[in-house]
Amino acid sequence: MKKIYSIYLPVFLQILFASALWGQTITVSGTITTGSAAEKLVGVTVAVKGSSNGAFTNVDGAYTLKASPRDTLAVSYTGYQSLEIPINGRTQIDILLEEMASALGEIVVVGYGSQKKKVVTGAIATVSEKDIASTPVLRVEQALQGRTPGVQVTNQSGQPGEEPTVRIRGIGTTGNARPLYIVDGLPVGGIDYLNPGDIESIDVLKDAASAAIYGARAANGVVLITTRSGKKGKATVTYSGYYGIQNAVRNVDMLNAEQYRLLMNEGARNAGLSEPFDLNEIPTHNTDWQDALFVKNAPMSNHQVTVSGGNDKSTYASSLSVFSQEGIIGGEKSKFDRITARFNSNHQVSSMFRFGNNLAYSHIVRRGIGSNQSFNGAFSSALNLDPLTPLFETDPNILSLAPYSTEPVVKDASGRVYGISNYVGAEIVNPLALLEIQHSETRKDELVGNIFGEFEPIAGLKLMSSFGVDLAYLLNDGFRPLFYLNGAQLNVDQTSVNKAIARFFTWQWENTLSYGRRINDHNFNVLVGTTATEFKYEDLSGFNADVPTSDPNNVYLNLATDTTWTAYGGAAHSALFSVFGRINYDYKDRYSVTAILRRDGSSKFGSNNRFGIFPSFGAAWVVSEEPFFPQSKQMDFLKFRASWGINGNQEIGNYQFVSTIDNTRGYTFGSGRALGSSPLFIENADIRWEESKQIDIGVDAGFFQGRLSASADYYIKTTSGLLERIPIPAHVGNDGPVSNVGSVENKGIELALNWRNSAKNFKYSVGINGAYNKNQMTKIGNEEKVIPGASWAIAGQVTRSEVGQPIAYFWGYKTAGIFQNEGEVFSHLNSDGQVLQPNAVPGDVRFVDVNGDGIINADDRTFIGNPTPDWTFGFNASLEFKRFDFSVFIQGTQGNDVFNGMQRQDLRFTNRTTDVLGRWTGEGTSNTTPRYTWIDVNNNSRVSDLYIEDGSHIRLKNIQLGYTLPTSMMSRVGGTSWRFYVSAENLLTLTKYTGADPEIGAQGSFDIGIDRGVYPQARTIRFGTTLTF
Amino acid sequence: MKAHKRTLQFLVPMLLLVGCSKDFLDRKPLDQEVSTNFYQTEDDAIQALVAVYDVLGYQDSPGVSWAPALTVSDMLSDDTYAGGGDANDGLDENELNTFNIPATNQLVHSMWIYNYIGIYRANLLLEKIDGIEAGDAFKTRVKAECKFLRGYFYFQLVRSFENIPLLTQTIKGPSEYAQPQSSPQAVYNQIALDLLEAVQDLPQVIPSSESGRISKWAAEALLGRVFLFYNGVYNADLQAGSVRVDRAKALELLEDVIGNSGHDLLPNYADIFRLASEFSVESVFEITHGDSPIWWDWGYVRGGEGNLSAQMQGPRVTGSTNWNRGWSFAPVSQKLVDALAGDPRQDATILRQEELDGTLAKGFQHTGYFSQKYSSDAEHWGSGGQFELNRTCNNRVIRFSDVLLMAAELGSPNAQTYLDRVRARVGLSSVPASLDNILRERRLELSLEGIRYFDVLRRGMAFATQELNVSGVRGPNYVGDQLLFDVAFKPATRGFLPIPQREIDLSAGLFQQNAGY
Repeated sequence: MKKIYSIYLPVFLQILFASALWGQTITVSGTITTGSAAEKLVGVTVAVKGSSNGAFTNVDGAYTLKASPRDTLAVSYTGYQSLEIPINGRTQIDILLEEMASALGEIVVVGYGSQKKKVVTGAIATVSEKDIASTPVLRVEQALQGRTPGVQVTNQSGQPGEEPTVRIRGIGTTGNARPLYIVDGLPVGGIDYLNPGDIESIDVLKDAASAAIYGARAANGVVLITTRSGKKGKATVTYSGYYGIQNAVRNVDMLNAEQYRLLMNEGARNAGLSEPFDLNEIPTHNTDWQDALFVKNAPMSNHQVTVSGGNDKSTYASSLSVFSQEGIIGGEKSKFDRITARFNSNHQVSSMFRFGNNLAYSHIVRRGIGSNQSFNGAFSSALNLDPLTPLFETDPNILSLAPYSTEPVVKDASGRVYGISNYVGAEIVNPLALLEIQHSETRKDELVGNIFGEFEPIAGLKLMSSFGVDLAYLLNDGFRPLFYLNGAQLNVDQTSVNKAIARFFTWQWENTLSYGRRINDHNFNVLVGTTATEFKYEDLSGFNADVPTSDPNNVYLNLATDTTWTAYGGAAHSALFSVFGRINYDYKDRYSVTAILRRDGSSKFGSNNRFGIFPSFGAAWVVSEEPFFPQSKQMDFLKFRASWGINGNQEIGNYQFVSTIDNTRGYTFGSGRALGSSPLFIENADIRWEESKQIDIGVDAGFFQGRLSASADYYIKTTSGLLERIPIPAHVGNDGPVSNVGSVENKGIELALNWRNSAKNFKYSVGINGAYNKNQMTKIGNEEKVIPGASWAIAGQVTRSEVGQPIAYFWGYKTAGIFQNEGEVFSHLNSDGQVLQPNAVPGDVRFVDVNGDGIINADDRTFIGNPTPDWTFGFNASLEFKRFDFSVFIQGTQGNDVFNGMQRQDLRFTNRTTDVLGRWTGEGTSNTTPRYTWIDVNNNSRVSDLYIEDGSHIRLKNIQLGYTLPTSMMSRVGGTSWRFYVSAENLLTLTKYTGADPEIGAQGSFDIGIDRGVYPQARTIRFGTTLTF
Repeated sequence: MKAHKRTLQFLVPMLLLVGCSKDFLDRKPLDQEVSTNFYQTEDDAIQALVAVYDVLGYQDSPGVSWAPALTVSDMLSDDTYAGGGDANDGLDENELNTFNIPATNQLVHSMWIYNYIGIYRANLLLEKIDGIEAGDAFKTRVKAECKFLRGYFYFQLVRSFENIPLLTQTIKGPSEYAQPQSSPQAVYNQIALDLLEAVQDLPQVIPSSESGRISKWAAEALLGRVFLFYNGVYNADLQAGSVRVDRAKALELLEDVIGNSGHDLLPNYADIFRLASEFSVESVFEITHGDSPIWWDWGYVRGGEGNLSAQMQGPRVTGSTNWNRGWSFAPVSQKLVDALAGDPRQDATILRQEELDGTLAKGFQHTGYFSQKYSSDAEHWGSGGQFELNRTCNNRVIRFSDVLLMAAELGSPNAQTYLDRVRARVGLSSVPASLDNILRERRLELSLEGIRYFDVLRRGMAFATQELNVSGVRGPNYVGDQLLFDVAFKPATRGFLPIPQREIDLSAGLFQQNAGY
C-alpha cells in the first residue's frame, strides 16, 4: 500500500501543475519497455529535467508529454535504473529501462512500514516475486530455499504439503525454532494457506535489531510477507498455470531374491542356527518393493487467475488459484489440494484518510502418510521387506491357507490380495497394503485477513489502525478398516471411525502512530504502537466402532453401529499485549540509526515473569556518500552496518506455569470405575521469556555502476533461558516442568554476490550466496548437562545436546574397523591388559573405549556427527536472449551428517542394501562392514559411527527455459504478453550419501537428519504458461 | 482541532488496552482443573487416592514398553520363555529370558518408571491430606492406603533392582532431582514401616462396593512376603521404626490373617482364576483390571484398565471360540510341565495347544504350552473396544494358599495343617511339612503367578543357578533350534535387573550400575 502511495502521488502533482506552454514546444511520445522480451512498463515517471513537467506511462507502456527540443527527459521507476535522455529534437523516443542491478535503491519492508534499503541498519534479505515465481512451490517456505544467505530451508521429505524446516541463522532454541511469519502485518500460525503466487515480496529480518520490533516472538527471525496489491490503470488479467509430472529420482540398491537368501542363510549359520532357505529351490518371487511403491508420473498442477487494476482512488488485486499435487509414494494417499481466493484493495477516501483490506480464503485437503518413520513407514517397509514376498499373492494353494483364508487380508481396488511376508515381521509390512488401509484426511478452511485505516491529519503524522483475524476450521477424518498386514500389525475385530473438528481463531488489533519528516538533511521517523492479540482454540471429536461401509473414503460417525460412542472436547486460549516504539534517523542518507524498544506481556507466563522488555539499536554509515570517498567506476557504493538487540521467544504450550490436574487416572472398584486425578507435571511458576541477544556487523558494496553488488554479515547470536521440558529422572514420578534451562550460541558469516549485465538483445545475471554457521550449546541447567534427543527404531537415543557441542548432535559408539582375526580380538586390550571385547569374534566391529575406563559400555558413547550443515549455499543464473529466457538455480549444504537408519538392523530377515555384499567374510575382506549374523553377541548393530554418512549435497533445484511470444502477435488477440516455459526440478543431486535423499528436515528440535526411510523428493518436469491481458 | 479529536479517538482505546492488560493476560486452562484449586475437598482426596490405586494397574510406561510385572518375572524364571510372534517381536523379552539384559532394556525401564509414578502419587497425597477438609477417620484410612501402596511399589522396585533411591516426599524442584541410591536395607525398612503403620489403620472388612481397596489382611500378608524375600536374600531382619520385624513378627501377622481375616481357600482350584471368583474368599490382595471404560487408545494404554498380561500370554490363535488372538509371549516350559506331571493342578495351570480350536500361529520359542491362569480366554474378553486392551481378568497378587504356605515356611506350629489344607483342596494326600516340601508346594500351587522367580532368588545363587540354567530340555511340540531354548543364569547379577541406563545418565553420576552389568 505504501508503495503505491509514494510512487504515484508525485506523478499526479506533476501532472496537475505541469506548465504546458514554454515557448517552442514539441510533443514527445514513446514506449517504455524492459528486458529482452520488451515487457511494457506501466506507471514509469517521465519528467522534463529541471521542471515540474512530466507524465507517466499507461498500461501499454506509452507516454506523451510536451517539451522543448533541447530538454532532457528524466526517466525513473522504482527498482529500475534511472535514465536521462536528451530529446535532441526527436518526437518519438522509445526507452529500454534496465532493472536495477543492485538492490540498494529498493524499498525494504521493515515491519510497521518500509525504509529505503540504503539507510537500513540491520540485516534484511528480500526475495522477489520473480524468484518466487521461478520454482513451483507448494509452500512459501520452499521459495526461500537457497535464495538468501543465513536462511536454511530443508524439506522435511518429499511428501506434498509437509512443512519444511526453516532456520534463520542457525538453531537458536531447543524449542520451536520456526521463524515468525507475518503476512501483511498479521502474524500467522502456519503459512500453508498462502498461495505463493499471491506474494509480491518476502523480507527476512535476520538480525535482532531488525526483528526487535516484533520483540516477543522474533528470536527465530521474522519473515515478512507482502501480498500483491493493485496498480493504478487499466485492469490486467493474468492466467498462469503449469502441469508437471513427478518421478522418483533413484532407487536404493537392495538385494535381490538370490542374494537375499544367501545372506540370510549366512546370518543363521554364523549364529549357529539352522539355515532357513534351501538354495536348490528356485524362489517364486523376486519383488523390487521400491519399483512397486513409487508412483510413475505423479501429477502436479497449478492454475491461477489474477485480476488487478485500479483508478486514482482505489486499487485492487484479486486472485483465484487451484493447486494439486500427488506424491510419488501413495499417489492419492499422499496428496495436497488447495484452492485459494484473495481480495486485496486500497481506497484513498480523502487526502487525509485511506483504508483497505487484505483478505484471503483457502481450502486445503490433505492426505498424508508417515514420511520418515521406522515403524509403519511405507518407504521404510519397502527398504526392509524381503524380495521373496510377492506384491500380490496369487497362488490358490497359499490363499486357501491361514492367514489368507482366515484373516481380513488387504486387497487392492480390483480385488487382488496383497502378499504377506513369511519372514519379516514386526513393523515391516507390505508397503502397498499399508497404504491401502490408510484413510485419513485433513480438510482446512481458513480465512486470513485484515482491514486497516490510515489517517494523516498533518503531513507526516500517520495514525494507522489495523484489525486482523486468522480463522481456521480443521476437520480430521479417520477410518480404520479391518486389516491383517502381518501377525503384529492387524485390526481384525472392529472397524472404527473418528472425526475431529477444531476451530482456531486469532484476532489482532494493532495501532500505530508515526511521524516522519525531513528537515534539510535530517530525516527522521518516530513510531509508537500497541498490539493486542488473542488466540482461541476449541475442538470436538467423536469416535465409534463397527462401520459397515463399502466406501472407506466416505465414512461418518452415524454409519457406525457400535454402542461405544465417545466424544471429546477441549479448549485453550492465550493472549499477548505489546507496546513498542522505534526511532529512525538519517543524515543525508549518509549516517543512519535505528533504536527500538518493545515490551511484551504474554499469558504463557505466570504473574511472576509475565513481561519481557526487548531493546535494540542499529547504525549504518554509507561511506560512499562521504565527500572524501573517491569517485570511481570500480566501486561506487560502500556501507557499513552494525546492530545489537534482544528478542524473545515464548513458543511453549499454554499454562505451563501452573500444573493442570489430569482426571484420566481412574481405577475400578466394586462399585465400578472411580475417577482419579493427579497433576500432569510438576509446576514451575517462575518460567520466563527465552531471550536471544544478537550482534550483527555487515558491509554492503556496489561496483561497476551497480553491476556487481556484494554484501557480507557477521553475527553472534546467543539465546539464553531456553524454554525446554528437559527429561528428569523417573524417580521424580511425574513429568518435569518447562524451565529456562540453557543457552545456545550461533556464530556465522553470510556472503552474497550478484552480477548482472546486459548487451543488445542479451541480458544475464549471476548470483551466489553462502552462509557459514557454527552452533554450540553453551549451558544446560540439569544435572547431566545434557538434553537427550531423538530416538531411532528401538535403539533409543541417537541425538543429544550437550554443553560444548552442537544442538542435537549424533551420539553413539566410535568404531575402529573390523576384527580381522582372533589375534586382533585378543590384542584389543585396555590399559590393564584385559581383552576389551571378549565376546567378539573375527568379523565383528572393534569399538573404541573412548573414556579409557577399561571397559566398553554405554559411557563410551560420544560425538559421532553433526546434522547441521556448516555451510549452506545457493547459486542462480539467468539469461535472456531476445524472446528466450533461461535460468538455473542450485542449492546445497556442506558439512552436515546424516544418520542412515533406513535399515532395521535390529530385526532378522530384513532385506539389506547391496552394501552388505562387501561385508566381512574372512580376513582382509572388509574393514567397514561387519560379518552378517543373526545372533549379534558383540552388538555390531548398536548406534555407532557406522551409521553416519556425509549429507553434504549440491542440488540442481531448478532449470527453466522460457519463450515469450512477440508483442505484435499478442496485440492481435488483445493480450499483452504470453510466455511458455518448460522446467525441471531436482534434475541432479551430487552427494556421497547412499540413502534415497540427503535432504531430511527436522521432525523436532532434536530430531534432525535421521533417515528412517525418508520419503524422497521427486524429480519434476513441468510445462507452464503465463498469459496476460 | 478536528484532527486532534480524531487522534484521541484512536489513542483512547489504545490506552484502555494498556490499562486492562493485566486481566487480558491472565489465562487459566479452560478444560482442566489446576493444582492451585485442587486438594481441597474430600471428593478431591478420593480422586487423588484413586490416582494412586490407578498405578497398581499399570503394566506399561509412557512411551516405553509393555512390561506387566507378572509376565516379566515369569519370563525371568524357568517356568516360561520370552516368546512373541517371531524373534523380532520379543527382543527385549528375550534379553530378560536369556539374562543377556542390557541396561537399555525397555521392559526394565518401564517397570522402574511406573512404580515411581505410584510412589510420587502416594507421597503427594500424604503431603496434601492434612490440608484437606475432611473427617479424621477418612484421613486415617486414606493415609494407611497410601502407605500400603507406597510399600507395595517400593517392594516391586527393590526386589527387582536392589539399589534404588528412596523418597518419602515428593521432589519439589530441579535442585532435588538428583538423588542417591539408598541401601536396600533402608528401603526394606521403610516398606516394613509403611506396611506396619497401614496394618494399624486399614479396615478389616471391605464392603463389596469397595472391593479392590486395601484391607488390613493384605498389608499383613504383603509384609510376610517382604520379610521372606529380605530374610532369604540378606539373611537379616527388618526394622520398622522401633519395631523389629523378625521371623516371629512376620509369622504373627500371617497367623492373624489365617486366624481372623475370614479368608479361606476356594473349594475348587480351577475356579480361582474364573471371572466369578474375583474378590473371592481366597483373594487377600487383588489388583483390578477391566473393560470400563471401553478402551481404544494404543497411544495411552494405561488410561484403560485391561490386563496386559492376559493379552501377552494368550495363544496366538484365530477363529477360536474359546481363546482369541493373544501374542504368545511367555510360553510355558517343558520343565514346568514336567514338574506338574501328575499334579491335579496341571490342567488349571497349563493350556496345551491341543486344547485350542481355531488356527494357531506358532510364535517364537513355541513350546506348545501357554498359561491357563492369565490368558485370552473367552470369559475374560472385554465387552468392546480394542480387544487387546480390554482383557478383564484381575490380578490375584496374594492368595490365601500363599499365606498358608508362607506361615508354614516361617515355622508356624500349624505348618503341617497349613500345608495339608493347600494339598487337600486339590485332593493330594499329606506330606511332611519339611522346608523342601513347603517350597515345592509353593512352586506347584503358585506357578505362573509371578512368584517363582523371587522364590528361587531368595534361596541363594547356587540354588538359582541350578534351577534357572536350562539346557537341552525340549518338549514334543517345541519349534526351533535348541539354542533358542537354552538359558544360562548369571549369578554375578544375583538375579537383579540392571539400573536403566537412562536413569544412570540422568543421575548426575550418583547412580551406580548393579554388579554383573
